[in-house]
Amino acid sequence: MRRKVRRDDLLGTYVPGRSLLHRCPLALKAVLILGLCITVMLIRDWQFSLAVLALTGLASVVSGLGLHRWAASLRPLLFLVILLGGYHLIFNGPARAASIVLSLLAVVSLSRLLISTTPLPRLIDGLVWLCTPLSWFGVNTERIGLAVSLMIRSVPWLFGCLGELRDAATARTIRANPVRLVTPATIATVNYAHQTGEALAARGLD
Amino acid sequence: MTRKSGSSRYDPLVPEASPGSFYCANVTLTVDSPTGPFTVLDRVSCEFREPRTAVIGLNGSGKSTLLRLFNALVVPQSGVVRVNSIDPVAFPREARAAVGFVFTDPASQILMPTPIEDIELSLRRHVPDRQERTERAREWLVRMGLEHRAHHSVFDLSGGERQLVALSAVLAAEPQVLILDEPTTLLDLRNQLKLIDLLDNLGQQQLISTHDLDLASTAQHVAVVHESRIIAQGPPAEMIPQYKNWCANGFADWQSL
Repeated sequence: MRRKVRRDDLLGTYVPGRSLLHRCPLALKAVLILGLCITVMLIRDWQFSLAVLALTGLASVVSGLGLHRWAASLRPLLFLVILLGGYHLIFNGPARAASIVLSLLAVVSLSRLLISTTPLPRLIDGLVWLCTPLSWFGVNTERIGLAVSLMIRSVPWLFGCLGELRDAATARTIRANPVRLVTPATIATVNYAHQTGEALAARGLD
Repeated sequence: MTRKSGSSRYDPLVPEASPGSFYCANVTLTVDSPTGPFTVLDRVSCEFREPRTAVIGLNGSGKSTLLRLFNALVVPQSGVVRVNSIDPVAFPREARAAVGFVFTDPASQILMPTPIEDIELSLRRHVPDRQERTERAREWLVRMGLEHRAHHSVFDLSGGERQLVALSAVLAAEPQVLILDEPTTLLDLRNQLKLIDLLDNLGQQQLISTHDLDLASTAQHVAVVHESRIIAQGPPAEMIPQYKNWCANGFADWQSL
């Protein structure tokens, strides 16, 4: 199934499929991906990071996610990549700059691979299971899972809200600079939090 | 509307409601406002036993607050509230398990990124097995004709599709009664008709606040809320023309009723 790639789809959402990665048990997939992330961060070698990044691209194609989705998932990092790359290029040389930038891209791409091939409820189940030891200290692990899923749900909402505010300002011929948007965005976010709280309560999830 | 904390006083002389009814007696709810205390519900009493009751009234009249009483989203300062004989003030969890609540804007009700995940969320408490949860969620989407949208972002759905997802998520939890707060406000005519058709085929008793007089006319009972009070109630054939008359000519004569 083809889905349009959303600009505000920063964290990624599940894309249904029957690939090996889709069918792989969550524990194994998470260990593999987490293991690769840690290795990338520890080795800090630009060639290794580049190889992992290329591997994620290949995995995206093989899993049916597509190269376009893979590239689009990295696009929001463009500004950060330019900033970090430029800084390290000037002060630490090209090898260090390439290592930092490529390891960042590789880690983000790996985590997107996990999110795109695993339904969110399965990820929450996994997180709740990982948090089981906390329940010995009276922590409600289900709430941790719910909080994380709400956070994931809220990111695209926030992007949408900022877009609407920008459009509203433009329609009134007001220049939509970030400082002007802070107050209405904050009010809208508080209102959203209030509505989410009501929805949680109404569904018996508070 | 913020949830008002504080003690609840109950009138022990008010009898318990029979199951299957939305019941409240002498309910008063006051909230703080910049200009001082504002009474949102003023000594409201009602008992709705019909399969579908429509609550109509102007914006800000207190319709939504009246509905929110029944699943403890608002807590009155005084009076008695019962839904299926459950006291929502003393037992909010039990009341919310019994009451399915559908909000005006489904975007604020849908909590998960995709429709299937949102319905699964509703099932987490009742269905421990995750495969069964997914299957049941999928069944609801099939029933609503939305199976092709199961894994789409909720932001990509139309208003009508979102409302159907919100309703599915509520119905999946198998509530005993259903409250819908202006469910057709954001829908086009086709989706309005689809929603009404769907509601007609549900077994649950329904309490609906609405500005849609076509929807109100499908109810067996209509209550008119004005200035924080229920000023009239009866069959839709009587109440809707009366309400239209009030809207056209003013509510000046309602106190003489």
